[in-house]
Amino acid sequence: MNKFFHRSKWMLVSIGSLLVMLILWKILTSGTGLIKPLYFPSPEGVWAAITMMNEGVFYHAGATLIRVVVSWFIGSAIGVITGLILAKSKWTFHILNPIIEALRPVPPVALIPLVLIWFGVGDSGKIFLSALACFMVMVVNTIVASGNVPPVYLQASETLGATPGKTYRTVVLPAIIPEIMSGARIGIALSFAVTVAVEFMGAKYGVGYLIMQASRTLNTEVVILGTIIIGIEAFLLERLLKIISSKATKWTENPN
Amino acid sequence: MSTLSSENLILLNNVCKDFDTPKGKITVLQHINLTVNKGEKVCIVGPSGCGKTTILNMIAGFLQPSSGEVSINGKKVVKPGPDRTVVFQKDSVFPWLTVRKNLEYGPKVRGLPRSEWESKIDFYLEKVKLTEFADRYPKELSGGMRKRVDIARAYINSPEILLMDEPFGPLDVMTKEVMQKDLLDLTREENKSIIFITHDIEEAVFLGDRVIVMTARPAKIHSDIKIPFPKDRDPSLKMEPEFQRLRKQIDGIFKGVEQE
Repeated sequence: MNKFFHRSKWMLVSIGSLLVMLILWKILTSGTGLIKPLYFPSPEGVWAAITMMNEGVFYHAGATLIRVVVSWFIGSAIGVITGLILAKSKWTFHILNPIIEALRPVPPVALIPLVLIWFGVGDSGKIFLSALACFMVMVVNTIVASGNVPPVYLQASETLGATPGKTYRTVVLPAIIPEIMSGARIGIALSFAVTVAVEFMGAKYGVGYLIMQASRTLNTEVVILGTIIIGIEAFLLERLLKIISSKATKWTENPN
Repeated sequence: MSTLSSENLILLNNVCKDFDTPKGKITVLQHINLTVNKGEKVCIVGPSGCGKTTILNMIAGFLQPSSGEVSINGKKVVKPGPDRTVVFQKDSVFPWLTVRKNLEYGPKVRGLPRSEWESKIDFYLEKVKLTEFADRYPKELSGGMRKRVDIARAYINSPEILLMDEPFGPLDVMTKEVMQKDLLDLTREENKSIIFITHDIEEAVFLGDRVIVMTARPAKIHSDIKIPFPKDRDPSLKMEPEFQRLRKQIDGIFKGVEQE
């Protein structure tokens, strides 16, 4: 009971903090007019933008979300598989690793102009670049994790009668799950950043497109609205992955 | 001749082992000759770092000798196998499996039918006093409890040979005594052979049919002492004058070896 009370006490403090921020926003904008609507619109201004656009908001929000999730999934999956192959085969490692290491330091956003030339403004370019970013994170995480599996676990598996293939499936794969999950969480944040950045530069729809169009016409309400949408989507995805991750790593010393 | 060779379960014939290090070649073992018969329990003591674990790793099949040969039942050891299960000095309980799943690991990866081993899981959980922890993950267990999981996992796999590398090191005195007694009881019934590495001479005399004292590196076998007690031993044996005499004798050899 006491514990519950403590929890709810801190919860109230946190909710209060958010409320204070909202009130400050209101006071500084429409309340006192200290900040001009052009630079930072009032809460009701942003709300008006939502009601004016109604389903249009969901259209753009949905498009961005789908691009983020699809590219993250494709990039991460190929990244894990490539990482596992590279960790296992010396030949593949020495052929592919220099290429990966050469490309890795290039920030994905630096490739946007190239991607626009290659793919145009459609979905494929955005998915390609964001998948590439996730791939890079995952491939490195997987190689490092596979190399860090304590040898005593491999020996224990062999001495209990597992074939090399079984040892791989029952020891290496479960042992690297924590690093895979952390790669997945870094990846989703990266995927958001890259997707929105590409949408800024060239797109026909999506939250990034929405923000950029609004910015060009000095429609600050919609710019803020788009930013809030990105924040909410990123928050929800991060939460979802956190839940999956803590289930998958509940056996570790610090599940997260 | 054939009966003799079937009794010689483990055979190390003139085994040497070198390791290549950045500072050059290091000779760890020199001309090791060792025979272990079926059902025999051999304890190995020696200065730390002398290569006891290397002997174990070669019998287990993790390492190959630089020269000489290791064979089991007359067959050369080339890789690890479930006929020789190792209990490692390091914690080797799989952290991503619950205690029960750890115990089931050996029979499962070997594809044995569940009916053959299912009842053994609960029996050994009881034996190592972990029944109520069966569905916990290893991180929730103490070091001593994890060691017991490790040992039970090896027993359940029912190997012909148990290779144990200071398995009771992290246990408290009371648990250690119980585990020693259980090891003798469980392996006597099934006539298992054991190679048991320890630095505890009392433990070596209590468990062993023979105690082998190694020299410092490069290690050779210094002495091979027969322990004349019956197979059925009780912890009270440790108080007997003959036990104490043997213990002092081996302690003397061990100290002499360490100062060389």
